[in-house]
Amino acid sequence: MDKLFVGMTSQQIIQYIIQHMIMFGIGGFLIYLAIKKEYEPMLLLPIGFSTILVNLPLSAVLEYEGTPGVLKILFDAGIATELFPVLIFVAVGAMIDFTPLLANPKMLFFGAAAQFGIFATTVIALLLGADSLKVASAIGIIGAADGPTAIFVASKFAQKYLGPITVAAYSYMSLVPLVQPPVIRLLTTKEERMIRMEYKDVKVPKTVKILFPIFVTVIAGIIAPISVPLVGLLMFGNLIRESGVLERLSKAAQNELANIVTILLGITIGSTMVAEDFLQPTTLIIILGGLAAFVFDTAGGVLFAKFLNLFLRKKVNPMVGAAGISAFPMSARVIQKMAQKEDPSNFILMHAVSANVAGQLGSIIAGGLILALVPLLTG
Amino acid sequence: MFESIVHASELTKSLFLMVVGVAGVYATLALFYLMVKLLMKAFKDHDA
Repeated sequence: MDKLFVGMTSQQIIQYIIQHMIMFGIGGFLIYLAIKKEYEPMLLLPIGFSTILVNLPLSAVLEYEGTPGVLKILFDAGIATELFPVLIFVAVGAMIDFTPLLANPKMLFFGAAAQFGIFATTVIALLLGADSLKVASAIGIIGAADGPTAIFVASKFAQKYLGPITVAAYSYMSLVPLVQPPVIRLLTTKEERMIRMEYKDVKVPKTVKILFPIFVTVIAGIIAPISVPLVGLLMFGNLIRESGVLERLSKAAQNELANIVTILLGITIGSTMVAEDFLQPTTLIIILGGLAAFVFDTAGGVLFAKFLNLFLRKKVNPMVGAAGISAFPMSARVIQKMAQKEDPSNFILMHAVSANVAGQLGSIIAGGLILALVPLLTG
Repeated sequence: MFESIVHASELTKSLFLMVVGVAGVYATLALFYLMVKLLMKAFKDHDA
Protein backbone atom coordinates (compact mmCIF):
# COMPACT_ATOMS: atom_id res chain seq x y z
CA MET A 1 0.00 0.00 0.00
CA ASP A 2 2.97 2.30 0.72
CA LYS A 3 4.07 2.06 -2.93
CA LEU A 4 0.59 2.96 -4.15
CA PHE A 5 0.39 6.46 -2.74
CA VAL A 6 4.07 7.46 -3.07
CA GLY A 7 4.36 11.08 -4.23
CA MET A 8 0.60 11.73 -4.08
CA THR A 9 -1.00 14.62 -2.21
CA SER A 10 -3.86 13.87 0.15
CA GLN A 11 -6.28 15.36 -2.43
CA GLN A 12 -4.93 13.05 -5.12
CA ILE A 13 -5.26 10.09 -2.75
CA ILE A 14 -8.92 10.93 -2.06
CA GLN A 15 -9.55 11.39 -5.81
CA TYR A 16 -7.86 8.04 -6.51
CA ILE A 17 -9.98 6.26 -3.92
CA ILE A 18 -13.24 7.84 -5.19
CA GLN A 19 -12.44 6.99 -8.83
CA HIS A 20 -11.65 3.41 -7.99
CA MET A 21 -14.73 3.02 -5.80
CA ILE A 22 -16.81 4.24 -8.78
CA MET A 23 -15.16 1.63 -10.98
CA PHE A 24 -15.90 -1.12 -8.42
CA GLY A 25 -19.51 0.09 -8.51
CA ILE A 26 -19.56 -0.07 -12.33
CA GLY A 27 -18.01 -3.56 -12.27
CA GLY A 28 -20.59 -4.67 -9.72
CA PHE A 29 -23.41 -3.11 -11.77
CA LEU A 30 -22.31 -4.99 -14.91
CA ILE A 31 -22.23 -8.25 -12.93
CA TYR A 32 -25.71 -7.40 -11.58
CA LEU A 33 -27.04 -6.75 -15.11
CA ALA A 34 -25.51 -10.03 -16.30
CA ILE A 35 -26.86 -12.20 -13.48
CA LYS A 36 -30.09 -10.55 -12.40
CA LYS A 37 -31.29 -9.04 -15.70
CA GLU A 38 -29.52 -11.56 -17.98
CA TYR A 39 -28.30 -8.72 -20.26
CA GLU A 40 -25.65 -10.38 -22.45
CA PRO A 41 -24.24 -12.27 -19.42
CA MET A 42 -21.52 -14.02 -21.44
CA LEU A 43 -19.78 -10.70 -22.03
CA LEU A 44 -20.99 -8.39 -19.27
CA LEU A 45 -20.09 -10.75 -16.42
CA PRO A 46 -16.41 -11.22 -17.41
CA ILE A 47 -16.13 -7.50 -18.25
CA GLY A 48 -17.67 -6.57 -14.89
CA PHE A 49 -15.33 -8.83 -12.93
CA SER A 50 -12.33 -7.70 -14.94
CA THR A 51 -13.29 -4.07 -14.18
CA ILE A 52 -12.92 -4.89 -10.49
CA LEU A 53 -9.63 -6.75 -11.09
CA VAL A 54 -7.90 -3.94 -12.96
CA ASN A 55 -8.97 -1.28 -10.48
CA LEU A 56 -7.58 -3.07 -7.44
CA PRO A 57 -4.58 -1.27 -5.88
CA LEU A 58 -1.45 -1.65 -8.05
CA SER A 59 -3.46 -3.64 -10.70
CA ALA A 60 -1.21 -6.70 -10.57
CA VAL A 61 -3.24 -8.29 -13.37
CA LEU A 62 -1.95 -5.56 -15.68
CA GLU A 63 1.60 -5.07 -14.45
CA TYR A 64 3.54 -5.75 -11.30
CA GLU A 65 7.07 -4.52 -10.64
CA GLY A 66 7.77 -4.14 -14.34
CA THR A 67 6.46 -7.57 -15.31
CA PRO A 68 3.31 -7.70 -17.48
CA GLY A 69 0.32 -9.23 -15.71
CA VAL A 70 -1.96 -11.91 -17.09
CA LEU A 71 -4.56 -9.51 -18.53
CA LYS A 72 -1.86 -7.40 -20.20
CA ILE A 73 -0.43 -10.55 -21.79
CA LEU A 74 -3.90 -11.59 -22.97
CA PHE A 75 -4.58 -8.08 -24.31
CA ASP A 76 -1.33 -7.94 -26.27
CA ALA A 77 -1.83 -11.46 -27.63
CA GLY A 78 -5.55 -11.37 -28.37
CA ILE A 79 -6.81 -7.82 -28.81
CA ALA A 80 -3.81 -5.84 -30.03
CA THR A 81 -3.29 -8.55 -32.67
CA GLU A 82 -7.11 -8.76 -33.38
CA LEU A 83 -6.93 -12.51 -32.85
CA PHE A 84 -9.84 -12.88 -30.40
CA PRO A 85 -12.45 -10.88 -32.37
CA VAL A 86 -11.46 -12.65 -35.57
CA LEU A 87 -11.79 -16.08 -33.93
CA ILE A 88 -15.23 -15.07 -32.68
CA PHE A 89 -16.18 -14.40 -36.32
CA VAL A 90 -15.43 -18.05 -37.18
CA ALA A 91 -17.79 -19.08 -34.38
CA VAL A 92 -20.49 -16.59 -35.41
CA GLY A 93 -20.20 -17.68 -39.06
CA ALA A 94 -20.78 -21.29 -38.00
CA MET A 95 -23.91 -20.18 -36.12
CA ILE A 96 -25.52 -18.10 -38.91
CA ASP A 97 -28.03 -19.72 -41.20
CA PHE A 98 -28.24 -17.58 -44.34
CA THR A 99 -31.10 -19.67 -45.78
CA PRO A 100 -33.89 -17.12 -45.01
CA LEU A 101 -31.85 -14.43 -46.75
CA LEU A 102 -30.99 -16.60 -49.76
CA ALA A 103 -34.68 -17.43 -50.10
CA ASN A 104 -35.64 -13.75 -49.95
CA PRO A 105 -32.61 -11.73 -51.13
CA LYS A 106 -34.61 -8.48 -51.50
CA MET A 107 -34.22 -8.18 -47.75
CA LEU A 108 -30.51 -7.48 -48.26
CA PHE A 109 -31.43 -3.86 -48.92
CA PHE A 110 -32.94 -3.52 -45.44
CA GLY A 111 -29.67 -4.84 -44.07
CA ALA A 112 -28.04 -1.86 -45.79
CA ALA A 113 -30.61 0.75 -44.71
CA ALA A 114 -30.35 -0.13 -41.04
CA GLN A 115 -26.61 0.62 -40.98
CA PHE A 116 -27.39 4.33 -41.29
CA GLY A 117 -27.00 4.75 -37.53
CA ILE A 118 -23.29 3.87 -37.71
CA PHE A 119 -22.50 6.77 -40.01
CA ALA A 120 -24.97 9.25 -38.50
CA THR A 121 -23.53 8.55 -35.05
CA THR A 122 -19.99 9.15 -36.29
CA VAL A 123 -21.08 12.69 -37.21
CA ILE A 124 -22.96 13.10 -33.90
CA ALA A 125 -20.00 11.84 -31.85
CA LEU A 126 -17.77 14.47 -33.46
CA LEU A 127 -20.36 17.17 -32.74
CA LEU A 128 -20.48 16.01 -29.12
CA GLY A 129 -16.70 16.36 -28.84
CA ALA A 130 -15.12 13.00 -29.74
CA ASP A 131 -11.31 13.28 -29.95
CA SER A 132 -10.97 12.45 -33.66
CA LEU A 133 -12.68 10.86 -36.67
CA LYS A 134 -11.15 7.51 -35.69
CA VAL A 135 -12.65 7.65 -32.19
CA ALA A 136 -15.98 8.96 -33.59
CA SER A 137 -16.22 6.09 -36.07
CA ALA A 138 -15.35 3.60 -33.31
CA ILE A 139 -18.31 5.05 -31.37
CA GLY A 140 -20.49 4.94 -34.50
CA ILE A 141 -19.74 1.26 -35.00
CA ILE A 142 -21.79 0.52 -31.86
CA GLY A 143 -24.66 0.92 -34.35
CA ALA A 144 -23.48 -2.24 -36.10
CA ALA A 145 -25.42 -3.95 -33.28
CA ASP A 146 -22.77 -6.60 -33.63
CA GLY A 147 -20.31 -7.08 -30.76
CA PRO A 148 -17.38 -8.62 -32.63
CA THR A 149 -17.48 -5.96 -35.37
CA ALA A 150 -17.58 -3.20 -32.73
CA ILE A 151 -14.64 -4.80 -30.91
CA PHE A 152 -12.68 -5.25 -34.14
CA VAL A 153 -13.10 -1.64 -35.29
CA ALA A 154 -12.59 -0.18 -31.79
CA SER A 155 -9.41 -2.23 -31.29
CA LYS A 156 -8.04 -0.62 -34.48
CA PHE A 157 -9.20 2.96 -33.96
CA ALA A 158 -9.79 3.54 -30.26
CA GLN A 159 -8.09 0.89 -28.10
CA LYS A 160 -8.26 3.22 -25.12
CA TYR A 161 -12.07 3.18 -25.28
CA LEU A 162 -12.46 -0.50 -26.15
CA GLY A 163 -14.04 -1.26 -22.76
CA PRO A 164 -16.85 1.33 -22.79
CA ILE A 165 -17.51 0.80 -26.53
CA THR A 166 -17.92 -2.95 -26.02
CA VAL A 167 -20.07 -2.51 -22.93
CA ALA A 168 -22.27 0.00 -24.78
CA ALA A 169 -22.55 -2.26 -27.84
CA TYR A 170 -23.61 -5.33 -25.87
CA SER A 171 -25.84 -3.38 -23.49
CA TYR A 172 -27.82 -1.70 -26.26
CA MET A 173 -28.07 -5.02 -28.13
CA SER A 174 -29.77 -6.49 -25.10
CA LEU A 175 -31.97 -3.39 -24.86
CA VAL A 176 -33.31 -3.71 -28.43
CA PRO A 177 -36.81 -4.60 -27.12
CA LEU A 178 -36.84 -1.27 -25.27
CA VAL A 179 -35.08 0.94 -27.84
CA GLN A 180 -36.72 -0.09 -31.13
CA PRO A 181 -40.51 -0.08 -30.44
CA PRO A 182 -40.86 3.63 -29.52
CA VAL A 183 -38.87 4.69 -32.60
CA ILE A 184 -40.95 2.42 -34.85
CA ARG A 185 -44.23 3.68 -33.36
CA LEU A 186 -43.10 7.27 -33.84
CA LEU A 187 -42.37 6.74 -37.54
CA THR A 188 -45.28 4.50 -38.56
CA THR A 189 -49.06 4.59 -38.50
CA LYS A 190 -51.19 1.76 -37.11
CA GLU A 191 -52.28 0.92 -40.68
CA GLU A 192 -48.66 0.59 -41.76
CA ARG A 193 -47.86 -1.67 -38.82
CA MET A 194 -50.78 -3.88 -39.84
CA ILE A 195 -49.54 -4.44 -43.42
CA ARG A 196 -49.42 -8.13 -44.23
CA MET A 197 -46.63 -9.62 -46.29
CA GLU A 198 -46.94 -12.70 -48.39
CA TYR A 199 -44.33 -15.38 -47.73
CA LYS A 200 -43.25 -17.90 -50.34
CA ASP A 201 -41.45 -21.00 -49.13
CA VAL A 202 -38.43 -21.10 -51.48
CA LYS A 203 -36.12 -24.11 -51.37
CA VAL A 204 -32.46 -23.08 -51.35
CA PRO A 205 -30.12 -25.54 -53.11
CA LYS A 206 -27.17 -26.75 -51.04
CA THR A 207 -24.78 -25.67 -53.79
CA VAL A 208 -25.96 -22.07 -53.36
CA LYS A 209 -25.44 -22.27 -49.60
CA ILE A 210 -21.87 -23.47 -50.19
CA LEU A 211 -21.00 -20.97 -52.93
CA PHE A 212 -22.51 -17.99 -51.08
CA PRO A 213 -19.78 -17.64 -48.38
CA ILE A 214 -17.02 -18.10 -50.96
CA PHE A 215 -18.42 -15.49 -53.37
CA VAL A 216 -19.16 -13.01 -50.58
CA THR A 217 -15.56 -13.29 -49.36
CA VAL A 218 -14.19 -12.67 -52.84
CA ILE A 219 -16.47 -9.67 -53.53
CA ALA A 220 -15.86 -8.10 -50.11
CA GLY A 221 -12.13 -8.75 -50.46
CA ILE A 222 -12.03 -6.91 -53.79
CA ILE A 223 -14.16 -3.96 -52.60
CA ALA A 224 -12.54 -3.49 -49.20
CA PRO A 225 -9.43 -5.69 -48.76
CA ILE A 226 -9.07 -4.62 -45.14
CA SER A 227 -12.45 -6.23 -44.39
CA VAL A 228 -11.16 -9.72 -45.24
CA PRO A 229 -10.29 -10.69 -41.63
CA LEU A 230 -13.91 -9.93 -40.68
CA VAL A 231 -15.82 -11.16 -43.71
CA GLY A 232 -13.40 -13.95 -44.61
CA LEU A 233 -13.34 -15.58 -41.19
CA LEU A 234 -17.11 -15.19 -40.77
CA MET A 235 -17.66 -16.84 -44.13
CA PHE A 236 -15.09 -19.54 -43.33
CA GLY A 237 -17.17 -20.43 -40.26
CA ASN A 238 -20.28 -20.46 -42.43
CA LEU A 239 -18.64 -22.67 -45.06
CA ILE A 240 -17.70 -25.18 -42.35
CA ARG A 241 -21.38 -25.21 -41.36
CA GLU A 242 -22.83 -25.50 -44.85
CA SER A 243 -20.27 -27.94 -46.30
CA GLY A 244 -22.11 -30.79 -44.60
CA VAL A 245 -18.89 -32.79 -44.17
CA LEU A 246 -17.43 -30.96 -41.18
CA GLU A 247 -20.14 -31.49 -38.59
CA ARG A 248 -17.61 -31.91 -35.76
CA LEU A 249 -15.70 -28.75 -36.69
CA SER A 250 -18.93 -26.81 -37.12
CA LYS A 251 -20.10 -27.84 -33.64
CA ALA A 252 -16.63 -27.11 -32.19
CA ALA A 253 -16.70 -23.62 -33.72
CA GLN A 254 -20.23 -22.97 -32.42
CA ASN A 255 -19.53 -24.28 -28.93
CA GLU A 256 -15.95 -24.84 -27.73
CA LEU A 257 -14.31 -22.11 -29.82
CA ALA A 258 -17.10 -19.60 -29.14
CA ASN A 259 -17.08 -20.33 -25.41
CA ILE A 260 -13.31 -20.21 -24.90
CA VAL A 261 -12.81 -17.06 -26.96
CA THR A 262 -15.82 -15.37 -25.31
CA ILE A 263 -14.31 -15.96 -21.84
CA LEU A 264 -10.93 -14.60 -22.94
CA LEU A 265 -12.46 -11.73 -24.90
CA GLY A 266 -14.70 -10.60 -22.04
CA ILE A 267 -12.07 -10.60 -19.34
CA THR A 268 -9.48 -9.01 -21.63
CA ILE A 269 -11.79 -6.21 -22.79
CA GLY A 270 -12.62 -5.52 -19.15
CA SER A 271 -8.92 -4.88 -18.58
CA THR A 272 -9.30 -1.59 -20.49
CA MET A 273 -11.81 -0.34 -17.90
CA VAL A 274 -9.21 1.37 -15.72
CA ALA A 275 -10.50 4.39 -13.82
CA GLU A 276 -8.13 6.90 -15.42
CA ASP A 277 -9.32 6.00 -18.95
CA PHE A 278 -12.96 5.20 -18.24
CA LEU A 279 -13.95 8.20 -16.13
CA GLN A 280 -13.61 10.65 -18.99
CA PRO A 281 -16.14 12.79 -20.92
CA THR A 282 -15.62 10.48 -23.92
CA THR A 283 -17.30 7.63 -22.02
CA LEU A 284 -20.45 9.74 -21.78
CA ILE A 285 -20.24 10.42 -25.53
CA ILE A 286 -19.91 6.66 -26.09
CA ILE A 287 -23.02 5.91 -24.02
CA LEU A 288 -25.10 8.64 -25.70
CA GLY A 289 -23.66 7.84 -29.12
CA GLY A 290 -24.52 4.14 -28.71
CA LEU A 291 -28.15 4.97 -28.03
CA ALA A 292 -28.24 7.41 -30.97
CA ALA A 293 -26.76 4.70 -33.21
CA PHE A 294 -29.53 2.22 -32.41
CA VAL A 295 -32.22 4.90 -32.81
CA PHE A 296 -30.87 6.00 -36.22
CA ASP A 297 -30.41 2.37 -37.35
CA THR A 298 -34.07 1.70 -36.58
CA ALA A 299 -35.20 4.94 -38.20
CA GLY A 300 -33.03 4.26 -41.27
CA GLY A 301 -34.61 0.83 -41.80
CA VAL A 302 -38.21 2.01 -41.24
CA LEU A 303 -37.88 5.11 -43.43
CA PHE A 304 -36.26 3.09 -46.23
CA ALA A 305 -39.21 0.67 -46.17
CA LYS A 306 -41.65 3.60 -46.26
CA PHE A 307 -39.72 5.07 -49.19
CA LEU A 308 -39.95 1.76 -51.07
CA ASN A 309 -43.69 1.65 -50.41
CA LEU A 310 -44.08 4.80 -52.51
CA PHE A 311 -43.19 2.68 -55.56
CA LEU A 312 -44.22 -0.87 -54.66
CA ARG A 313 -47.53 -2.41 -55.61
CA LYS A 314 -47.29 -5.00 -52.83
CA LYS A 315 -46.46 -2.88 -49.78
CA VAL A 316 -43.80 -3.81 -47.26
CA ASN A 317 -44.56 -3.61 -43.55
CA PRO A 318 -42.14 -0.79 -42.59
CA MET A 319 -41.37 -2.47 -39.28
CA VAL A 320 -39.43 -5.12 -41.21
CA GLY A 321 -36.93 -2.39 -42.11
CA ALA A 322 -36.08 -1.99 -38.43
CA ALA A 323 -35.11 -5.67 -38.31
CA GLY A 324 -32.24 -4.88 -40.68
CA ILE A 325 -29.92 -4.39 -37.70
CA SER A 326 -27.55 -7.16 -36.76
CA ALA A 327 -28.99 -8.01 -33.33
CA PHE A 328 -30.16 -11.51 -34.25
CA PRO A 329 -32.75 -12.89 -33.58
CA MET A 330 -33.89 -10.36 -31.01
CA SER A 331 -34.82 -7.63 -33.48
CA ALA A 332 -36.87 -10.00 -35.66
CA ARG A 333 -38.75 -11.20 -32.57
CA VAL A 334 -39.46 -7.64 -31.46
CA ILE A 335 -40.91 -6.81 -34.89
CA GLN A 336 -43.10 -9.92 -34.95
CA LYS A 337 -44.36 -9.14 -31.45
CA MET A 338 -45.23 -5.59 -32.50
CA ALA A 339 -47.01 -6.82 -35.62
CA GLN A 340 -49.09 -9.27 -33.61
CA LYS A 341 -49.94 -6.61 -31.09
CA GLU A 342 -51.64 -4.64 -33.88
CA ASP A 343 -53.12 -7.69 -35.58
CA PRO A 344 -52.83 -11.08 -33.81
CA SER A 345 -53.13 -12.96 -37.10
CA ASN A 346 -50.33 -11.05 -38.87
CA PHE A 347 -47.21 -13.16 -39.31
CA ILE A 348 -44.16 -11.30 -40.65
CA LEU A 349 -41.51 -13.19 -38.69
CA MET A 350 -39.86 -14.83 -41.72
CA HIS A 351 -39.45 -11.49 -43.49
CA ALA A 352 -38.08 -9.95 -40.31
CA VAL A 353 -35.64 -12.87 -39.89
CA SER A 354 -34.43 -12.40 -43.49
CA ALA A 355 -33.86 -8.68 -42.86
CA ASN A 356 -32.15 -9.50 -39.56
CA VAL A 357 -29.73 -11.94 -41.27
CA ALA A 358 -29.10 -9.29 -43.94
CA GLY A 359 -28.24 -6.93 -41.10
CA GLN A 360 -25.56 -9.33 -39.90
CA LEU A 361 -23.97 -9.11 -43.33
CA GLY A 362 -24.57 -5.37 -43.67
CA SER A 363 -22.95 -4.56 -40.34
CA ILE A 364 -19.77 -6.39 -41.27
CA ILE A 365 -19.63 -4.67 -44.65
CA ALA A 366 -20.15 -1.30 -42.94
CA GLY A 367 -17.35 -2.15 -40.50
CA GLY A 368 -15.08 -3.10 -43.39
CA LEU A 369 -15.85 0.14 -45.23
CA ILE A 370 -15.10 2.20 -42.13
CA LEU A 371 -11.80 0.36 -41.71
CA ALA A 372 -10.97 1.11 -45.35
CA LEU A 373 -12.21 4.73 -45.54
CA VAL A 374 -11.21 6.30 -42.23
CA PRO A 375 -7.43 5.79 -42.62
CA LEU A 376 -7.71 7.28 -46.14
CA LEU A 377 -9.48 10.34 -44.76
CA THR A 378 -7.22 10.84 -41.77
CA GLY A 379 -4.06 10.35 -43.79
CA MET B 1 -11.79 16.03 -54.90
CA PHE B 2 -10.57 13.39 -52.46
CA GLU B 3 -7.47 15.50 -51.81
CA SER B 4 -9.63 18.42 -50.67
CA ILE B 5 -11.62 16.15 -48.34
CA VAL B 6 -8.39 14.88 -46.72
CA HIS B 7 -7.53 18.47 -45.82
CA ALA B 8 -11.07 19.38 -44.72
CA SER B 9 -12.33 19.58 -41.12
CA GLU B 10 -13.11 16.40 -39.15
CA LEU B 11 -16.83 17.17 -39.40
CA THR B 12 -16.69 17.46 -43.21
CA LYS B 13 -14.77 14.18 -43.31
CA SER B 14 -17.44 12.51 -41.18
CA LEU B 15 -20.19 13.75 -43.51
CA PHE B 16 -18.22 12.45 -46.48
CA LEU B 17 -17.79 9.14 -44.66
CA MET B 18 -21.55 9.01 -44.10
CA VAL B 19 -22.40 9.54 -47.77
CA VAL B 20 -19.72 7.20 -49.14
CA GLY B 21 -20.23 4.64 -46.36
CA VAL B 22 -24.00 4.37 -46.80
CA ALA B 23 -23.61 4.26 -50.59
CA GLY B 24 -20.87 1.64 -50.23
CA VAL B 25 -22.98 -0.64 -48.03
CA TYR B 26 -25.93 -0.38 -50.47
CA ALA B 27 -23.67 -1.00 -53.47
CA THR B 28 -21.98 -4.03 -51.89
CA LEU B 29 -25.24 -5.57 -50.75
CA ALA B 30 -26.72 -4.86 -54.19
CA LEU B 31 -23.86 -6.91 -55.64
CA PHE B 32 -24.66 -9.69 -53.18
CA TYR B 33 -28.31 -9.45 -54.24
CA LEU B 34 -27.40 -9.94 -57.89
CA MET B 35 -25.03 -12.74 -56.96
CA VAL B 36 -27.72 -14.59 -54.97
CA LYS B 37 -30.24 -14.13 -57.79
CA LEU B 38 -27.75 -15.55 -60.29
CA LEU B 39 -26.79 -18.45 -58.03
CA MET B 40 -30.43 -19.31 -57.34
CA LYS B 41 -31.17 -19.21 -61.06
CA ALA B 42 -28.11 -21.25 -62.00
CA PHE B 43 -28.68 -23.96 -59.41
CA LYS B 44 -32.47 -23.96 -59.09
CA ASP B 45 -32.72 -27.60 -60.11
CA HIS B 46 -29.93 -28.74 -57.80
CA ASP B 47 -30.44 -30.49 -54.49
CA ALA B 48 -32.44 -28.37 -52.02
